Amino acid sequence: MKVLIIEDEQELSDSICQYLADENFLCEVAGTFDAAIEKICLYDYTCIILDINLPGGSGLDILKELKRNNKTDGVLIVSAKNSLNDKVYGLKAGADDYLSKPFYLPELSARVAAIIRRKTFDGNNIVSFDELQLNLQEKTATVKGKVIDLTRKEYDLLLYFISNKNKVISKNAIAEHLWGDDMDLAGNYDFIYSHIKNVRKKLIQSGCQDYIKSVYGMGYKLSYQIAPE
Amino acid sequence: MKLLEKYNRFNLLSTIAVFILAGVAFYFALHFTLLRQMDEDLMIEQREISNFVALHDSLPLPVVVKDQQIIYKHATQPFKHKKFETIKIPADDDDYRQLSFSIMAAGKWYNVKVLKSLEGTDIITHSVFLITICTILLMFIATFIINRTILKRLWQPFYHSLDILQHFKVGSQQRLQFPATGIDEFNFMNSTLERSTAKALQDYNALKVFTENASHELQTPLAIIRSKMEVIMQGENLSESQFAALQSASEALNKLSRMNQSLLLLTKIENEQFASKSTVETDQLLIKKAAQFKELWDDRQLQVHLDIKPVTLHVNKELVELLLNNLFSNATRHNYNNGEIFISLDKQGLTIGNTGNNTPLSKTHLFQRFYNPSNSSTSNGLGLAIIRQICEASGLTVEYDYTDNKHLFTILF
Repeated sequence: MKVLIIEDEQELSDSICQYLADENFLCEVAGTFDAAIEKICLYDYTCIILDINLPGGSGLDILKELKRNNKTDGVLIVSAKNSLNDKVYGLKAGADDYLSKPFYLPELSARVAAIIRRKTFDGNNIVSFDELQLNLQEKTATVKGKVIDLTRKEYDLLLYFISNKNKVISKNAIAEHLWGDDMDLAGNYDFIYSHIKNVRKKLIQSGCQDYIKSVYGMGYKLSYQIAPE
Repeated sequence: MKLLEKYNRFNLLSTIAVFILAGVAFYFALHFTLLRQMDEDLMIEQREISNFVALHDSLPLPVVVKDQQIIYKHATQPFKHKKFETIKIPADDDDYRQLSFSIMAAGKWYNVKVLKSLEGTDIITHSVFLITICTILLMFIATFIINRTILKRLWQPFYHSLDILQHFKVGSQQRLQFPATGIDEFNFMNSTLERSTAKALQDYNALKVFTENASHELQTPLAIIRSKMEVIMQGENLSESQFAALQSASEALNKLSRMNQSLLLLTKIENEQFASKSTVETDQLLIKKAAQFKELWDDRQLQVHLDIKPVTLHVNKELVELLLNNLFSNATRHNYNNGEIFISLDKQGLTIGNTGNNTPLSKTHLFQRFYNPSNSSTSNGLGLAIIRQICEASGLTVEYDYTDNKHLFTILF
């Protein structure tokens, strides 16, 4: 799966590349408007991460160019301009999603994964990790065919973890994913802890491994241990 | 005190003082002059008597003249000098001016007293007094009318400028225009006001642009730092202390990023980027927001009392959501576990109260940017500034009160 990162800040595109590379994405980077236009004309990408402010032009024009050429690449707009207008305009122009800077890489990764799922697995709404299967349509989780009774937040949390498997996700990133950034929960992580505790309990009760590990109070990580005890 | 009132007071007081002084002076001068005149008349009378005596060596027969009496008396002791004095005669109400002298007639000394009534002089002095009083009264009325009409008209441009200035708001972007007045002083004042308000606007805009640019420019570096930290976090061989350091750095970064977003939001509201208004069912929005916060409240065992009546407002929906977010976050963050939150909404307004720190907050500083009395590390001191800014932009008023150990924030519609 090829992902194009159109972003003028090389440091940022490097980080995104590095993070996404582990998810079996093949990342390419375009740092300017012209380079981006050239790349989208020559190749097809599963997903394009698009910055609005670019040297040489606006990311929105790239989006229009894509639509004019009837390209079906998924587009995630990433912009420092955290304004509703930009968001509305971008989504109207055919972008699939919008994320404002500064974002969390797990969030970006999850959004990219969601776009790719929508674009590529038509009709197939199952995301799986080891024995765990999530049905995106019905928003349910099953282990070995048995449904786990999850709340909406717990389901979101599991999907977020699976989209970022084997990655350490910080508590802040989890909080922002579940509650959005406008609730201002700074410093209050107790309820994240209780949510994760519940998910883990439910997973263990349904007979699968304790996939979610705490990482030194920094965050959590979903991983599969090859040799379970 | 108003300018005109003050001016009137000075003006009237000094006019009255001058008039009274002038009246008194005039009264005495007139009195003195009239007495001198009277004394001269009496001396003419004396001369006539002396001439008669010199001619006939006998006293003339007293002639009855109105308001005049001449009395002769044998004198054992003649007056050494002639003497003027004012006396009262019991039979008559009026004062009399009397000249006493002695004269020798037919070898005998006679004491002569010539009296003239002062009635005429009294009438004149009374008239003067009356005229003075009338003039003062007229002066009062005249000053009043002059102030009412002419002075008011003269000062009209000044009050007009004052009125314009009163409606000046530095955030409104409206440059002040003062009309030409035709009076140099007012023109000078107006041009000075125009210049200084324009400067204030310019400075304000420069500050706003700076905040906006600074926040914008900060976003990319913040994004880079955060992404780099998340990349580092994925490292296989990190020690616990390295994770702890990463965690601290990440929290500081979050705070910075949140502050930056708040500043951006403030400039956006100032720039009227939330101008589009619609009819918002505030009660529904409030219930939805409360549901979002429920988890957070349950987690801290906060008791929430909701008293919500249907209210619709014509406002920007996004701003109201932000307002509720900030109010709710505030009431939650500055609460203690097992505390209480009171939310009531009706046609008059929205009140959010919470238990918390038992000291009232300063009403004057509360809504200022970066005011953080508790020095709480989880708050950046911008929440209340945002609340006020949103209220100002939406035409609402926000008030703070501390009663019954509750911090109350009221948004008046």
